[in-house]
Amino acid sequence: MNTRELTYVKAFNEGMHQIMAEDPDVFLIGEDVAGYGGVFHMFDGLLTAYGDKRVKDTPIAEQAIIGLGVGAAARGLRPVCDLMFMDFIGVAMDQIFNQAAKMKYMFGGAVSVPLTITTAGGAGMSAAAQHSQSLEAWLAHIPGLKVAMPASPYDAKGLIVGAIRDDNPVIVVLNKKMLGVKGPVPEELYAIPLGVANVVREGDDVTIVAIGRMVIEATKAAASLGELGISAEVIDPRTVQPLDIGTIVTSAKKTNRVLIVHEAVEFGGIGAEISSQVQESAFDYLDAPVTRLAAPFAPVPYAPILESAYVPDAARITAAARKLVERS
Amino acid sequence: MAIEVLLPKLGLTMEEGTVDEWLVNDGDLIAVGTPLLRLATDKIDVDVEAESEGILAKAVPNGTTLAPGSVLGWLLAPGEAAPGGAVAPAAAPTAPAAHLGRQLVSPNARRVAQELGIDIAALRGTGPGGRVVSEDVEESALAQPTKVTSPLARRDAQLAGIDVNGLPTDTGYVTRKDVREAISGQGSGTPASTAPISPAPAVIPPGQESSSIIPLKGMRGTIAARMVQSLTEMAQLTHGYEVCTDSVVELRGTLKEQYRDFGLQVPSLNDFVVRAAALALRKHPILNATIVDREIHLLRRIHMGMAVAVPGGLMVPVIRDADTLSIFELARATRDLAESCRSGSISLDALEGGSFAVTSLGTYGVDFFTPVINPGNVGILGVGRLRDSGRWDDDRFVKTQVLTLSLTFDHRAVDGAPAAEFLQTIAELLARPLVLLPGA
Repeated sequence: MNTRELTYVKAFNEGMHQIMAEDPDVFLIGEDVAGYGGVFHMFDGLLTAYGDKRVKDTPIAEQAIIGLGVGAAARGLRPVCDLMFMDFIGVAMDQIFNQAAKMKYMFGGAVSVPLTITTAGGAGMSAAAQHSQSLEAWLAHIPGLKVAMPASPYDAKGLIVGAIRDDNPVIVVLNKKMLGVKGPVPEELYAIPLGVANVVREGDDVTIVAIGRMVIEATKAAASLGELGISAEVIDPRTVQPLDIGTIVTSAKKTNRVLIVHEAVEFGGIGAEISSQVQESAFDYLDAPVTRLAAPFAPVPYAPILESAYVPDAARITAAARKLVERS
Repeated sequence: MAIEVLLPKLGLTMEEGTVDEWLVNDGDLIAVGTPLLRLATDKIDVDVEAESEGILAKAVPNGTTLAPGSVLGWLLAPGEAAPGGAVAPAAAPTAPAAHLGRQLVSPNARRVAQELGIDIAALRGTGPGGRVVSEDVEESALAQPTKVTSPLARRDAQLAGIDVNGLPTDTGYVTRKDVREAISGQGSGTPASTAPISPAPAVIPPGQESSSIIPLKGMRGTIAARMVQSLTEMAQLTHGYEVCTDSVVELRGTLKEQYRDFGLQVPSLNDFVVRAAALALRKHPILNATIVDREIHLLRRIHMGMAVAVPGGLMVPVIRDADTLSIFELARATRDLAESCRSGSISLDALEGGSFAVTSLGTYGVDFFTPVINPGNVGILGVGRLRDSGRWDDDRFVKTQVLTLSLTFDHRAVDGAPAAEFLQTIAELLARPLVLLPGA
């Protein structure tokens, strides 16, 4: 296997190319995905390689994009529908949670909806309240939907392939601020199974469960904690639905202390779910309250200074982890 | 703050206990592990030890009967008033650790403390907010040279006739696990039951004297207690049922002949009966059951107990999921378990969890008998002697071989007719022994 350094967006793009070459049922639609290759260049070169029957630009009509995808998926194709910014998902929400998520249940399993929705979320680019949100908890709450949040170039490629091969609706949430992040990516086609967490770094003293871009910040924090003699384990759930709680609980029983980090709003976030499940399964193994570090209950601010105070970073993760393990 | 001395729950079925006698006085300074009082239950008497330090204030007098968890007294800091009103003497020789307000303890610290037998109340918390964390417990365990034995470990050891002093232990503290290991190392049988061995005080009859005395302890005590418990707590009766074994005898003959040159082991007649019983239990789950409180619980898995005679008593090792084993696996498991019983290397785990049992007196020439159910089960199958018999085939008299099965069942759970149907199923299976060969 040949592995090179690729950026997050290039790795995703390579996954798209390879899965479209492998499976003629895969097609792509969305705003500016064909001629322009997507506003983040996620889809560069696909139009040239696979033609305008399989790579289509659409009008600005999110509900129609997803509606078309649901219908095509129900008839056996594997559509990839791009929603550009995650903030736009509300426009298409009825198609997502009432149609895509429900069909298999309501038709007794006779219909599957192998639909993939790609979109980009996350703050940190001064893109303001309507272009910076992290809404994964909203989606993960709906039975019938899966939600993947790649946190490395390797995962960006593996999870888009895993999502497209999955027979159920999957929303793949890329992180805007990670597009240029580089990492090792194998050349050949591979898929990462949905629902298997990644233990990014092993440790004994505290477990840091991080989601999306926070995995990068948590890994940096783990390095500085290491310098302080604190051994942190970093876990990336990879998909928040299904959630690999087993890996998290095993780690919690080992370290006895758990910190959960995400850039979505703390209230009602995935961290609340993980925290609850950890205390249900590992209560007698906890030496400190399960702690969350996430965004305050407010829209993402536009001003860069406010925004940087809003999103957790390595320094705040380090401080929160130290508080969990400190002894007097 | 006042630490409560609680009436311990010594077993799942314990409903109440009586303070037989306080062993220390009000106002005494108590160290961890000091026996505080003698507690009497319906099954056993046990010393309740102090789990913390402090000055004793009694809440109840001798003779009080209460439910587990009730407060029997308090251990106080010097000068502290008991919730009941008594005030501890102001000065004490050594002051136990006192906490201001509620002591914060992490769940993990509690768990580890219980495992290591450490008294949390005496610890200083170093975690967030002054909370006692598991590291505090572990460090204290390393520092403490004294051997702490939990009351339950002491009780188990007492019942098994084992001295807790000098028992090997991994943690530095004698735990129930260490006691269990010591028991299985001795090969002295199943864990001691707490049922009374002798219901009324007895005396040697006048004009008699003892030529030798066999103490009812260790394995002998366990057997005595469990058998009395079985016969007093259950409504037991026994069906005798004759089964034809011609097909099994014939098949064993064939196997012997064909296996001879290959050194393969031929399953015994008893193995065939056990295999048939295990399969029959699948069809008659009412016999693979246990009675809990006022409910009959049918058990999903079939764990077959096998009575094995050993010098001075018997043991009942358990074959797990016996119904899934082929007859060859079953025969091997039976042989291995019997061997480890006789050699004394059997583990306690292998003696627990049986859901039904088979016992055989066939080799001793017994045809019919009344086996006694192992407490917790609702049935036991006795296997009798293989013997010649005959039957009329039209007007020709043919020789056959038969044996008698003795099924004892608990009439609370099983009625006579279903018990008989279970025996019929076994007979039908023994008539088709090829069915008994494969597993799963």
